[in-house]
Amino acid sequence: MRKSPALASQRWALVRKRAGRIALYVTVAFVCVVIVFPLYWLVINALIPGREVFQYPPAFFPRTLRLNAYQEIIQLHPILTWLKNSVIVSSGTVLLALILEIMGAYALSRHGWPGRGLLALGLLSTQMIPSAVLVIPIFIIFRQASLVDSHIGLISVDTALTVPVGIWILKGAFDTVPEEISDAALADGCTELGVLIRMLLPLSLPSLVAVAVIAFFTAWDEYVFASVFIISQSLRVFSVGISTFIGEMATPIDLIFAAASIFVIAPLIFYAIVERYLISGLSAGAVKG
Amino acid sequence: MNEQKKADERQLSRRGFLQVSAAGVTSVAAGSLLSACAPLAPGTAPAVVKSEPVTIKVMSWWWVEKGSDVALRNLVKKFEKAYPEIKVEEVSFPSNIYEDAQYSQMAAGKLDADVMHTLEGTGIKLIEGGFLESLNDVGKKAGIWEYDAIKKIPPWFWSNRATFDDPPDDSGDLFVLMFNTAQDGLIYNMDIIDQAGAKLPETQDEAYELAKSLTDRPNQFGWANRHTVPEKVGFFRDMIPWLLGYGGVYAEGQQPKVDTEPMINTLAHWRRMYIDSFPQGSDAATFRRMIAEGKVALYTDNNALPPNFFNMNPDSEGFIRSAPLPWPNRRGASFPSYWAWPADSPPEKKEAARTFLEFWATPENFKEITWARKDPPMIPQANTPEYLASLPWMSGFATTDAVPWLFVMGDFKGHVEEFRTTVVEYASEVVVGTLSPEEGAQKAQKDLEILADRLFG
Amino acid sequence: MALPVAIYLAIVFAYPIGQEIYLSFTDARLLDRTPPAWVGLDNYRSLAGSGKFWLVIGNTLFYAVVANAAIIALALALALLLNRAFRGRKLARVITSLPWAFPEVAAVLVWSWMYNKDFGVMNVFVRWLPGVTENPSWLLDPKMAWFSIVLMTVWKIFPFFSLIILTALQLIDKELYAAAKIDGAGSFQLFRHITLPGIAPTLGIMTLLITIWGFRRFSIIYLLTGGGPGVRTATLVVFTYITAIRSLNVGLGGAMAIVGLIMSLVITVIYVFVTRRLGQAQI
Repeated sequence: MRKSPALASQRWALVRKRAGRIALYVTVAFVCVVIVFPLYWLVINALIPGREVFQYPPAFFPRTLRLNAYQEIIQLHPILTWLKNSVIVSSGTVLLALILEIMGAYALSRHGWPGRGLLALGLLSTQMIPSAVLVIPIFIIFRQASLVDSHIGLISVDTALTVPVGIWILKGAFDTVPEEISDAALADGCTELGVLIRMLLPLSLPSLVAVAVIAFFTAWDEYVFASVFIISQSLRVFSVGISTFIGEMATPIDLIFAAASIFVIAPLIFYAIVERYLISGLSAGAVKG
Repeated sequence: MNEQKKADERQLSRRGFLQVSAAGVTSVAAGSLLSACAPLAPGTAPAVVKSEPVTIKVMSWWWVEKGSDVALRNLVKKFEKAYPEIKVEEVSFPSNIYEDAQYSQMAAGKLDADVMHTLEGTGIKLIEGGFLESLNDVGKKAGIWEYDAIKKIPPWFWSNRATFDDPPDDSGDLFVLMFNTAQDGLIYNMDIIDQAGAKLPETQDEAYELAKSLTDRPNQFGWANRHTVPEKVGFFRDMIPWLLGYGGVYAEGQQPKVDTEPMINTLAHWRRMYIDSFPQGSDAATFRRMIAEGKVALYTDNNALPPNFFNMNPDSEGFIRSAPLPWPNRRGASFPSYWAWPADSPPEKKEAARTFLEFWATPENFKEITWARKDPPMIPQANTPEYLASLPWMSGFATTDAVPWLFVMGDFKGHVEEFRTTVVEYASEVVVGTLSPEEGAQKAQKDLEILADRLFG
Repeated sequence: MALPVAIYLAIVFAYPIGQEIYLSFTDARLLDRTPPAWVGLDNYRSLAGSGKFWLVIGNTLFYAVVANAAIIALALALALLLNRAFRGRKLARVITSLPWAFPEVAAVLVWSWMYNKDFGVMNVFVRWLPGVTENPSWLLDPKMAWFSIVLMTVWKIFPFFSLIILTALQLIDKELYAAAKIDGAGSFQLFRHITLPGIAPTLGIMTLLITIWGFRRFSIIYLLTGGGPGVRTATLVVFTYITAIRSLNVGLGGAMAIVGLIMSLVITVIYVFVTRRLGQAQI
């Protein structure tokens, strides 16, 4: 075979490129399947009849599916109330957390004041205390402040859990905006608030979205505080509501699985909405420090 | 003390009370007579006069427990109809966090309830902490003293009973009212046993042999009881009847007894059952479903379980049966639940709560809730031949020589969690074979003796 | 401006932490009516002398190192993958956020079921491997239990971190790559000299955060194995919970919580030191 080496190497490059492409898709598909599988398994196990749950090997694509579990949780359990309460608590947490995080991060990033290093370290140290240890002391304080059994109380706790990390992430983002730029704006007669709102925040959009996502998911999944702080059924959030299926005598796993699959949906929707801001937020370079 | 005389006095005072109140109310149905009269009892203001409704918080895990929830709500509806001036507010924590929620509230110094359900261990903590008020009065007015069930309330809930042998005495404080109990028995799958042509086991070794012969993983399991650390509470609890069957207890007085022969036997039994019969690692949620689906032959548990299997799979009503526990002394545990009454609710709420409890305790209502939940009858009115005939799976449980389970804890009654954590820690190692039964028992004993030192000095 | 935030956090955290420090020097028991007695360093001494406690510390470090290394490596790999342009990229990103959105209680339930020795689907997968002829004791054999815990942890945590790293990747100036390519840089060199420095601050803080979060991660272990068999899979926070809350021994539990706090502080200080050295000061 005699072909010009240039042509051969061109073809080779093409083959390589195509193979690379296929490998990319195969890898992405594989990773996605691995990530999704537990959710798939959850839904499948909520849908198959009781007897077939105890089959080995299990069927990956079961033939008989029934919607009984979904019907039952929607008809017999206040699942929509839980959903509503979780949305209220999570959104409230996002709002309150963002306000506090922006204030905290700005103070840490833009003001040279004594002890701010210590405060920053102190912030992180709050992350090291397990929730279980915090519950009772906080419960006692909140009870005195009449914040027990209210969404506001739960929002305050969830916010506190997420704020330290949020401040750290936002501070990192604010730090990447050169101080000269904001100083120049201040010299031009801009107020500090103006600098914050017009410059720092737009330039830190992806980080803002990231901390919002973290805040939302933290509140959405929080269980330890929610189980103790919320007493009325009408205020109960989803993470605790789901555990009410765990009974003294019987635990209907299919119902839990059905409820859980609904529980996953809301944060996914939230994430899908903010995803483009998170990932493709702004043109590169603008925030390079 | 003259027992008979006391009983007569009680009878007399009750009759006297009935005469007094009957003057006020003449045309009330016999069943709700006592409850209807209660507000008119001397010294208390008649509730009817109040204009604005009083709301009482009733804390229970029944609100979210399948089967019990309907039974409880139906009764509350009936109550609110009979007493329009009282509203009942549900305060519910699911059973898996119920005691934690009570602990948090106790730690914060106030309970969010005017009436509540409580289990034994928390009940003791509540009394120690001074959170409960005597229910003796309520019990007397409600006629609870007339029920045999009163004697089953263990001594540690009375101010004036030291042991089970002391007769109940209404001169002191009684801090809880029992509202239902469950006791251990051998639960089995009639179809599997019949098909195998097997005879029900009468000793622990027979139980093991039979279970082993009926195991064909993963199609069928001879036996299923809890045996993992995440199910610490269940693991510890499931071993109790076996421990009693082998003639042991977890503790006697201030002395832990987990290095004794009965405990070693229990651990060894759990180990061999794990190897040859248990669905390994399956939790109760899983294996109870398997039982309902007919995949497990035998296991020990209490009489509250079968109705749950029927909920999961209606067909199981045809094959779930009970039999005497497979050991000669027939010893097993009972698991009562109680009503208790927080000491610090305001007087008007307390009055309403009293009305609620008295309503609950009338024979008619007590019977209704017993039947709705398919509980063993605790009062004669609920104990009819028709009712028993409708529960073909109930007979085995009745043969158990039952003691309230806290009996096996000696003086560690108020420290169950800590005791349990240690026992399960080592028992779990025995089950998976990283420690022998003897080693596990000795290590647990050593840790528990240190605990005893710390607790009792 | 920092004042309201500081006050807010002080109320929620400082009081409980201060109380915890105090309790760790007492013999306090939850729900005890008698006031706790001062016992000095007794709790710490009894911890230091307890083989069980050192086993738990070992477990904690093992879990932190192994799970975090796996999380960081996989998160980085996935982020690089998702940074490439391909059809369905957006869908892949949403899918990636899924485990994070999964409620922990439900996630543990489904994983326990997948790990069931008799019926779990994991048995099917593992038996595709050559040489595996028996279903493993996923959650009961101590070594297997660690494997199962780490696997589930990685699944739950790594995708979200890869999204954060992805954010950082997107912020790297594309022109830098173009320029370097003209200079003849290979893909490894691009990664080494442009990508890695570009995401280093993010990687740094994320590593610190997952280490600290790893120390306090509770539900996955507590619900999967309960720290068992024995305390062979218990980490410090699981052990603290069992001691302080379940066994009501808040004095000893307090001492454990303080040890955990000190461990995390040490790691934070190391982090600060290293980042200062590398000139990426965050504090």
